[in-house]
Amino acid sequence: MIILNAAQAAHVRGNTAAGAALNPVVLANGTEHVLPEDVLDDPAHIQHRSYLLALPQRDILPNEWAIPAEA
Amino acid sequence: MGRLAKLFGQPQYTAEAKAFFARCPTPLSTQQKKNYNSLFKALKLAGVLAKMDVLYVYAAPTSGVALLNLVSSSFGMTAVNSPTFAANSGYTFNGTTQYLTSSYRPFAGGTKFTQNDSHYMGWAPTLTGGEWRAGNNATRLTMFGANPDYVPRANTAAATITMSLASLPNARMMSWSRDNSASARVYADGANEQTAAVASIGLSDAVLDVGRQRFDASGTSTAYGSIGFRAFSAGQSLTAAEQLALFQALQTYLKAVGAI
Repeated sequence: MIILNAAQAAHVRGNTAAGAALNPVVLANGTEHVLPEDVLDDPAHIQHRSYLLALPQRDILPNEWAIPAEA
Repeated sequence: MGRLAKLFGQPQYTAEAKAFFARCPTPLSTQQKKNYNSLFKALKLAGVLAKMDVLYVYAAPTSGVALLNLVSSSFGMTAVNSPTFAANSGYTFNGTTQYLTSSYRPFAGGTKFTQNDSHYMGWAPTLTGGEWRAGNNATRLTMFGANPDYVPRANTAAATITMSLASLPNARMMSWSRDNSASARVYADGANEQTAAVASIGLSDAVLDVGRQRFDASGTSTAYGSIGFRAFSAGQSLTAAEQLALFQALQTYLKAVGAI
């Protein structure tokens, strides 16, 4: 997963092309946001590719996701 | 003109199909138009089309077409965080960050879908090996993958409808109808599997997401599913005959495009 802080998440969040958007998901720690690496290969998000490529990537452990209690 | 077209063997499309073709971002082939037209005709004849706010057929030739609402020019969907699209098959998700979203929000009113007159339908490629989610707190299609594995909400509160899919290993089209405040009918592949005596509650203030479900209006609190969708619809309550007609029409379309 691509790791973003809140400001970086706000920078890329929103529509990127017709029928396509980016919406980084916040982890349970409340500070890190993530996007799947798939977005790097999606032509719809080409405008953010260089920006996202410069950000760190790491695997997310199951307990790091913010899971709602009702799930 | 219609008679001449028929005389010369040209296809006759319904008005609804023509309007949909005109909205497609890429031109459809004659065969693709025929497949969609057959779907429109079957749904119109059965009285189902008039009851729908939204019908998305994700098993489409392109992602641009898949995200369109077949019923109207409103409520087109957006693919968020690059879910996987397979032509003529549908969308699948990674189960953590990917989903489809829309501006469809019955809570705001102005839709055919209301608290006590509504239906929800989703067609899955499989219902094993993950979670399957669409909708929100009160209104959803949800399969957890644990017993009881199928826990839809037909404008209902928590855990008021539960069903095991163990006896329905091949079911793909899961749906429900509510036409009163006291009960809801649950269907699998167009067959009524359960009539649940569950009181309706007010609709959740949330737009429609497919591939995840919202627990709040902002979408901050959400649960994701990895199992994909071939189609989804919502609107007024459908009778038993209409549920079956919807299943048969979609099944015919999905077979024609090779999705099933």
